[in-house]
Amino acid sequence: MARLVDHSALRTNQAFIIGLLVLAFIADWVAMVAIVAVVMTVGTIWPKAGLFKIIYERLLMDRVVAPDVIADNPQPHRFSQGFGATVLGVALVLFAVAAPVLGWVVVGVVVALAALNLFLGFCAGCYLYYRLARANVSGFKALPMGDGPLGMRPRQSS
Amino acid sequence: MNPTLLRLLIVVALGGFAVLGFRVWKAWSLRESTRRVRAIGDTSQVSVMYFSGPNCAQCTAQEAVIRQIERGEPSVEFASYDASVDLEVASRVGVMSVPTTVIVDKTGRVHARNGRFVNAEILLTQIKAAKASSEPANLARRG
Repeated sequence: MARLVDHSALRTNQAFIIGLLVLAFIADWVAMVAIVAVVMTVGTIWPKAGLFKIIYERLLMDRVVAPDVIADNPQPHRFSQGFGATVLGVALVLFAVAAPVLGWVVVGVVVALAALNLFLGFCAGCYLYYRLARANVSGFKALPMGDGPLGMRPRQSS
Repeated sequence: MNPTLLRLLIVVALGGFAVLGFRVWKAWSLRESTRRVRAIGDTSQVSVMYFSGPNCAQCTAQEAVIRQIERGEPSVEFASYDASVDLEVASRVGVMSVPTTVIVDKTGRVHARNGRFVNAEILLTQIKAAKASSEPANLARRG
């Protein structure tokens, strides 16, 4: 059954991920990639403890950003974040084995997918989640909302 | 060159390419829609094609907005389609989701398309822009 999801919180999360990873690339700061990966992992396992979500709820919501609460499944977004964290983990391994160019390319993929979600409303991780759910893969139970293309942000406001 | 500056330039260049790519894709998408809409039939006035479907909660809200605008815009032609019934039209226009609204100017050129619910304000702005682009002076400028 669908629940309510605040898409402003998701967009804030994506904006932080993009901003910090771009900053990490410009400053050649691999530690920042690790910090973002840890924040994303924590946010996936325990959503309420996600640092970017806490910043959104305590500092930005209703002051800078208006909430955008719509009927949606939270599970695909968590999966998406976990997937992003895993990919950043792969990037960190590449940095560790002295393959920095490949590492930054992998970080770039995470930035590109987060930007796709932030600016165009297409969540690649959600698309993958729903594909797995349709294939009856164990653990993937939530089904797509509405009639829109798979992975696209539902538009119905609550 | 300073490596930090080089990295900054890479970010700016990639961002620029992404924006440019999106603009090109959007322009191509509208041109493709125009080709498909012109294949359906001639239009002599600004028109709004509205696609809905069964089990679509947002279509009920979109329908209400369409009817509200229809009353205030007698010079605009409104055509409603059920995407699950009018399969050929929906397929020609490339409808991927419902509700979808397509705003076509007097020359049959697709001026805007929305693959989601849009409020009256957005639709009216798009209709106004389609009307303005159909003015003789603007048509001459467009060639």
